[in-house]
Amino acid sequence: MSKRIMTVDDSTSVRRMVGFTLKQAGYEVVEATDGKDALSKLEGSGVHMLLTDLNMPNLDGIGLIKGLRGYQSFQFIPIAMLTTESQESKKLEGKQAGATGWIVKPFKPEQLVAVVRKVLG
Amino acid sequence: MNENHKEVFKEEAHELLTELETVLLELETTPDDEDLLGRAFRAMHTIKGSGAMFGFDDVAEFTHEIETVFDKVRDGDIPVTKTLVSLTLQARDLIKMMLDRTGGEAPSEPALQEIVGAFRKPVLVDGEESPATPLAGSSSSVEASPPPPKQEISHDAQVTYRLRLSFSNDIFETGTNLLLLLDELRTLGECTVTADTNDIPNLDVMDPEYCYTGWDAVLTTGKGIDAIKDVFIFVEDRCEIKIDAIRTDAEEDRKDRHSMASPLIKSPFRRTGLWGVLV
Repeated sequence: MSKRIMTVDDSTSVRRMVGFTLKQAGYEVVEATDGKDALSKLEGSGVHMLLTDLNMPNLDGIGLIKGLRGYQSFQFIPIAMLTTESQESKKLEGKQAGATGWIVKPFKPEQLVAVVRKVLG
Repeated sequence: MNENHKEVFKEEAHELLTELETVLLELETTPDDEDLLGRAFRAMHTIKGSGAMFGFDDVAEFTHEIETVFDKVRDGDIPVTKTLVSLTLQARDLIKMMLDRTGGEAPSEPALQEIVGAFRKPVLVDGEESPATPLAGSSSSVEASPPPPKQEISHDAQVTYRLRLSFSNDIFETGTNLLLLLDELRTLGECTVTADTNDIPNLDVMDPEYCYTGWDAVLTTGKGIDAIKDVFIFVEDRCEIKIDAIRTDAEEDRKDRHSMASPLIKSPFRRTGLWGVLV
């Protein structure tokens, strides 16, 4: 059974590219447009990993990560921040919120797959 | 990059530019509206981030200049002025031209530089000599400061580090795969990793879900110590990492790399038994 990944980004083009790339690599993909949308779709979704942008309307990536870590069922789900913010402060903020790691944009599709494979196999 | 994805980005960018124009016009009457400021910032942030993803490097670089200023506006460090709105509308038109350049006229380099120069000015004034004039309703009076110069940090010099990594026994409870971290460490340069299995207890007292292995590594890299620390940033609460720069002459280091790693091994075990399971 293929693993399921949720990609959370308010950018349609990034969501499409990430979704296309991961599907090509054999993963199932669930899309969410922001943190609030992600929270509404996660329960019972069987998602194994989350890729989230940081800067989004309604609920941003940090808020989403904090929210998820509060749920028993999502306490240990791998969460990678997909972000243009490469500053140390953002990494630390994400880490403190409970992120597992990060991928800095721009990245190539093969780099994305490599990171996901490292986590999910 | 798939051409279809580029087209999706261009379509999205045009929608964001339309949104940006609307927001800017609304900001002229309600300059302190945080929701509007957030929308303006996010529009530019997405155009910049996604533009770089899809090969529109010029769009990304140019938009970054505007986004940097709007980040400060959002934080209340720069007021929304008529000059700022006007400049941003001009920048928006130039971004649109850059996106459409395959089918239309490309913006000239001087035109781009003029806008970039204006956004980099210490104060975004509403006139050459006058101080910044906030728009009606604006409570902010702090003048703009120039964006900090980009720091050019060279990490070309090859340095050899010795790393001693020891993790808390319960590290696996977080879902962390330590071997992936070691793989990431190896991507930084020439790296020799050796397991320290000295603390592995006898089977009758061993908890199979615990981590008993530490690692010693000798890494030669030009990427700097911060890059090494970054590898372990998400596990630093559950590990002890000692990093020592031991040599800067990479050639000499490679000669006796093994001899430096070997004394760290306290256990007679190598890639057998539990080590194999952990790998």
